[in-house]
Amino acid sequence: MAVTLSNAAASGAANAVVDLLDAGSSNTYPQLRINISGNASTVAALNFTGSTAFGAASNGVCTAGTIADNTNAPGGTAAAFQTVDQDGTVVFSGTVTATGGGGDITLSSVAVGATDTVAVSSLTYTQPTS
Amino acid sequence: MTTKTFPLVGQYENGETFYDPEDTPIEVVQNWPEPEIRGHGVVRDKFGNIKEDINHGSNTI
Repeated sequence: MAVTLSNAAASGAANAVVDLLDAGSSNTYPQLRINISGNASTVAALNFTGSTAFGAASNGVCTAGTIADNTNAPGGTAAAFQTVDQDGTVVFSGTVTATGGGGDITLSSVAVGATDTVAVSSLTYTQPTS
Repeated sequence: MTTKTFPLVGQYENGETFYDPEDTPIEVVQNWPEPEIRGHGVVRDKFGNIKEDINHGSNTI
C-alpha cells in the first residue's frame, strides 16, 4: 500500500538520513566515495567539507554543502558510490554512470585514471512525498 | 520497504508474559516512497582537460 507524505514529513525523513553523515569522530570529514562495481575499491574519495554534509531539507530535498575535489584520485572504473560518516559507516549508496547513462550520480567519464581530478558539483538527496 | 512483525503477547495474572504460538502476529509494512539521489561531476586529467565518455545512449546512423 502506497504512502503519501506531507512536505514537512518528507523533509523530516530526508534530514534524518543526511544528518547521519555528520556523526562520528574518527576522520575530520564525512566522504562521498566513488567506487568500482560492487563497491570493492574506491576510485575517488571526496570530502564533505562544510559544517554539515547537507543543508536542511526544503520540500524533501537536501542539497550537499561543499564537496572538495579529489585531486589525486586512486583511479579505476567508477560504477557505484557510497556516502560515509566520519567513522566510515555507510549512510546511503547508489550507482554512478557517465553523463546520460542514468546513474544516481553521473560523471563526465567513468574511466578515472590515477592522479586524475574528480569533482562533484551537485548532489541532492530527495525524499518524495509520494 | 521495511517490514516488522509484532508477536502477540499474553500475560499471566502474576504479571509474567508469554507468547501464544497459535496467535497470528501483527505485521506492519512500511512502504515509503523511494528516495532519489541526483549528482553530477567531472573528471579531469593531469593537464586539466575534462575527460568525456562517448557512445553512451543510442546512436542513429
